[in-house]
Amino acid sequence: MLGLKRFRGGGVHPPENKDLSNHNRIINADLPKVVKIPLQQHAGAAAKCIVETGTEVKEGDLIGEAVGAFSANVHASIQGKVIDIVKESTVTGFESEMVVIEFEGTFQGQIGGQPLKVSWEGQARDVILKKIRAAGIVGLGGAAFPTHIKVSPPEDKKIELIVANGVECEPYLTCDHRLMLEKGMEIIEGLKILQRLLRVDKAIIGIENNKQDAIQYMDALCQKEENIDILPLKVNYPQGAEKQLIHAALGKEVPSGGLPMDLGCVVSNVGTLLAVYEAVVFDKPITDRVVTVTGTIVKKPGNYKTKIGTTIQDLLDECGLTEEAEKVIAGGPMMGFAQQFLDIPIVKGTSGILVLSQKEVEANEEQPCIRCGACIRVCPVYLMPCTMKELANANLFDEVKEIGLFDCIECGCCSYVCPSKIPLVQYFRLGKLMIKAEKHYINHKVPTIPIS
Amino acid sequence: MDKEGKEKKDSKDSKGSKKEKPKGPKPLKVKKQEYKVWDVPSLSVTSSPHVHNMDSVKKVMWTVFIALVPATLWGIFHFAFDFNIEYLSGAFQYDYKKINDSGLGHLFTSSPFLNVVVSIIACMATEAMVNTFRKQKISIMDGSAAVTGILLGMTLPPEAPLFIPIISSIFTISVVKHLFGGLGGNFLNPALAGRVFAMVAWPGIMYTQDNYLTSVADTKTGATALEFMKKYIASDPNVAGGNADPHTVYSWYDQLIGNIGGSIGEVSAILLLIGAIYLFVKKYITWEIPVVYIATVFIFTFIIGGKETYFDLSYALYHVLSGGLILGALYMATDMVTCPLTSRGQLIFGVSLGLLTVFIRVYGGYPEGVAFSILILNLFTPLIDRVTMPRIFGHRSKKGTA
Repeated sequence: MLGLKRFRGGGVHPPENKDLSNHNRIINADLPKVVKIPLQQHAGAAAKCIVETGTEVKEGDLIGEAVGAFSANVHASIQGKVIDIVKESTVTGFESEMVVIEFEGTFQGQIGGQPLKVSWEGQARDVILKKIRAAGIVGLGGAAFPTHIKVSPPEDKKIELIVANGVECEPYLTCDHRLMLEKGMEIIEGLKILQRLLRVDKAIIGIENNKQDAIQYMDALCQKEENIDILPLKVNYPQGAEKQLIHAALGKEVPSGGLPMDLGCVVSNVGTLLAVYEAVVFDKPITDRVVTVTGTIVKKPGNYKTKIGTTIQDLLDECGLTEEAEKVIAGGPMMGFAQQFLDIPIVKGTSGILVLSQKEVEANEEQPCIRCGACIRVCPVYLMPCTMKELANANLFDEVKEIGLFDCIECGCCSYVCPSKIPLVQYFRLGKLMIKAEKHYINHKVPTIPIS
Repeated sequence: MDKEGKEKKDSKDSKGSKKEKPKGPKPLKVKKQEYKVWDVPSLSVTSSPHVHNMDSVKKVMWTVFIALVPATLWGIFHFAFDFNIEYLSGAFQYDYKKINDSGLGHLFTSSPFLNVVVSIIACMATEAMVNTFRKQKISIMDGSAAVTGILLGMTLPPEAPLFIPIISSIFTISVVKHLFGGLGGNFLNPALAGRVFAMVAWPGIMYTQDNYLTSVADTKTGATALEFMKKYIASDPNVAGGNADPHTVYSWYDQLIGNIGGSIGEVSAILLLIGAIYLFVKKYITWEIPVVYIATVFIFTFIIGGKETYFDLSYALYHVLSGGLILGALYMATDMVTCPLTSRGQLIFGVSLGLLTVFIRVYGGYPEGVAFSILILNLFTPLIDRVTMPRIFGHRSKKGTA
């Protein structure tokens, strides 16, 4: 497909494997008996727990309150009783306090029966912002950046464009694809809410070319919307990354360390737009999200609307496996987190559960770098991963920082193509942690590895 | 895994230090996470990404090996049977007598065949031996030693005695490759270093082929095309081959197909090119170095011209197609380990190679300059890498160079 936009330089195209689940309609997952809701599901500070053991909660009740500006609210996803507050590791491997809620009573549908629909057109802008903040909306694409911060730029930053991110460049994942097909209207309404909130005329919806049906459907829905355009993109991972998507759409680079708002852009995942719509129109906080459960050994792969806090075990019990799982990944295969235990809850940023069998998980024996330069050619941020790895291997972390360690977006392209099978991304994560730990030690004189 | 383990351990400590457990009904239904470092998990945990494009060093190296085979076979047949393909008619020519006398058996006892095979075997054997000394896993099957071996064999003269490939192989694998860290650690192209080692150690055999090959009846296997040119330009009537115009001895067609004298593997430009295109399609070599290198040689020789004239097209073509330029530019300058990493670095590398090669060929004492220029530029690779770091996404200009 010539003529389609994509970001310049780098990127890979792994086998998509989206066929496993992209024809399956979104269905509600079984209601879990017990949920564990982490108070740290988002970028920024953890929410403050405002319930205690024994508290009766209803679905949608606030259980964790945002602390400071850079944080997000957390809500109960089922009704019942708080039976424990524990500190356990989340999908990312870091620890967080978790509120354990046991289901009680009878299920009354989403938010206790039919929600009251209110028109958003009449609502004031600060009311809309307050609702987004109250609903604890974070970016549902994976990074979980609090949305209310994203949509309240400082006065000096003029936002001119909203980019809806329907790229879904990760292989296997199909939740955004299905959302666009089934909730297209609501997503566009959500986009229009943001347009009103940010006083922006122009908006585009970026969709990769491998989702032709979604492109056509969204295009049809946008026929009467003058200010919303569909932008089909050439398939290229990691195009769904915020800065790469802006690069593909506008040809401009977001400055290092900056945010898309520096270029007058706001990027929002389509799932987040749906959440915005539901928050503003139905006053519904984020209590569930669509999770793609997929893998060749999953009996019923599909897109499940899952309560936040449902454990991976519960979800996999429902979907069933044909053989023993070797690797369970929260997220996609390129950036997801392999899980050691299955009693870990699904959080707002979990877009998929991917199960790989023994056959699909090959033991990679690391070999010496042969300096082939493949990693340099695929790096979407134009780093030199092989050189950085050599320096990191020699514990020269300051030197690695010099040549752009913190510009690395950990997309995994370099590790994906490395013929020597060097886990480059792991070296860079380690490097980042080491530098942060050192900084932490200098500041606090306590030798610990800081969380996130 | 270490990191994982450490985290788990930390978490256990923090749990132990938690002062008061919240009162209330005990969580019976929630299975507690087991934080035991010694707990062997049934699930495998690695850092992302969890998929791989299934490329491997082994695959890269054997693909390069396969790409080199056609040109090598041509060289062996060409020098063993005087095998040629005629211009226009496309008819095969070969030495009937050799074939009739001993059939294909002659092939397996011919010097060019043995030279190539012996250097491959010697390289792999040395690799295995050094692996044993270094207490490493035997790594001969990853193909890097085989590629070094076949490349070394290809650069040897067809009638070289067999001790040359053996000693050169031992030198190049043990000294050039393994003394500097083995695979990926060598700073010189091992095959070329072996070739130059032989050239310095036995100049009589490696360079004055006219004398060495007096026993060979056919003059075509005698002097290489570049030697002809060198003598022609110098107008030395004393040497065999005389001061005949090299353009009439070897037409561009002969040079392209490989009906010429030279080292075993360097004669057939077309087969080398086909192999390189295969590698390019497989994305194991980049276009920058070969294209820029050959173009620089072409332009430079075109400008300085041949014996009398400037801007001599046939002279430039002659330089491009003869000697080791095609082999060197396509397979040795592009050697992953010793060439610059970035595209800009590779452009600089290619231009420098071209200039240096022509300087050595035209103004230097040796008729051929490819091997020397590649080895010299190999030494500059770290420097080139350092100054050609790409601009990082979102940065205005290049950030510091480390």
